[in-house]
Amino acid sequence: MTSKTARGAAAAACLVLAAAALRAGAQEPGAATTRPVIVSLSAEKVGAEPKSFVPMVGDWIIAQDDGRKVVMVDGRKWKRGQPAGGLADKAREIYGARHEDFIDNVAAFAYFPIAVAKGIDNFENGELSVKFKMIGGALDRCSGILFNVKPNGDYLTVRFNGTEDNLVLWTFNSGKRTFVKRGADNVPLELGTWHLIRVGIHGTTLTGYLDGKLLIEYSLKEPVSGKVGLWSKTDSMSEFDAFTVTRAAK
Amino acid sequence: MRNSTMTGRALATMVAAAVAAAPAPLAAQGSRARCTMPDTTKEWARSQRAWLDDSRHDWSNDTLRLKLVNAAGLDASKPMPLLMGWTTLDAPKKPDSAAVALLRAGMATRGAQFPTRSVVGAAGVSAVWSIVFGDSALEAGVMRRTMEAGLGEAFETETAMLEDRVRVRASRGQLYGTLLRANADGTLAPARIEDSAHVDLRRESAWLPPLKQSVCAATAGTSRR
Repeated sequence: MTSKTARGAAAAACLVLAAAALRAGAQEPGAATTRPVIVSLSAEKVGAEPKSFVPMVGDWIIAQDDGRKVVMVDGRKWKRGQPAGGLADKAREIYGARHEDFIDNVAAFAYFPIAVAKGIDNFENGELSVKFKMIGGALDRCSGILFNVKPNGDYLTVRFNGTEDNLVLWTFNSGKRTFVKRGADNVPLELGTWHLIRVGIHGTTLTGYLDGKLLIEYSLKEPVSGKVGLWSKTDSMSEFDAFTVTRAAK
Repeated sequence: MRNSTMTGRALATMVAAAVAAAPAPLAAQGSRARCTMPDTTKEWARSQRAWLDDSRHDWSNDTLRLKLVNAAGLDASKPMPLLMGWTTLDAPKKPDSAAVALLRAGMATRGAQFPTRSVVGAAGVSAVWSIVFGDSALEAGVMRRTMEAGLGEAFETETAMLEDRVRVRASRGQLYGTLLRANADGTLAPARIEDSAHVDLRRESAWLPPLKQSVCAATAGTSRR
């Protein structure tokens, strides 16, 4: 490679990284926008922990799938319900001074791997979606969208579980997991194939879709307001791609 | 139907021969079969051994454990042998016993105590697996209960093998490749596997040896355990 070509390649790489950073939502477009923000993985390093998501519980890595970078939660290594390494630092990174409640609560939920999307603050109204592919898990094969994540570690999730073939809304409050609403139909999905979960939040109305099919409709007790991300359970192995946040126009 | 009956007979003969055969070192059997046998020094075997270790005597219901172990004809005074990661669908359904009735009642009653590791120890859990083996309804019920039992309570290897059986019976692809069928030439091969690209990844998570090695063990006539 000549030096001129190398300089050109470096400049191009910088442009790609800058574009990726914008897409990742590090500097989110105006809050009133309805333009979808897709968390880009292009600047991530395969085999390393994701930088665009902050793993709080479980083993999360960047994997390669068919030449594309994806986020993978790997329950093989994580059998004992431990929070991710460096939890305190990570909690401080996303919640600043209020991180200690978050740590206590997350430790109580340590059977449920979560990774919080960086730079997506205070999602209230709109849609969240993610592509997921189940790979394995002897006890669970879960892939879910995490939202309404509070500084004390409480949150909501809509997840698909391949061992039960269902889409379910769960709440996690003060160290207690509570079933809220099961999808209208069971949908057996093949492992190793990509599918899409989409959650709509409009005021207190929640809708949950699997591959475009409406399965959950529910009225929440209060409006949603908090961070968002990815969710999994125990020994699940799943891949995630194209995590998308579309805020409703105000 | 005729073919599958013949296949069933051939397999039953093979399994009976395997059980009757005097145990030989795994590597020697593999050499006879010209394939690589499961390596019992690897992580999958260490994980199985650790889970099957009952030396802490930390189960809560000794009476139930004894009932189950006796019903399954297991010797709980020794550690349970490792699972080599293969079964066939030809295991005959055993006649209902008191142990089967007990399991059925446990599954029919919501909130009833189920014989998991903290209740009956590893030998008790393995006994449940042996008792339900071949009974399609019980296999499915026990699989559900063990999946719900949580980490450490179920022997994930057995749960995985049950799930393969339940899925194949429901005409779905198996996930771990543990269920083998005989080809026309008498060789054994896994029934259809869903997402076969990741099968060994899933097997690793369920403490199973690589698929090729389990097929080798079955071909060499090694016991399932």
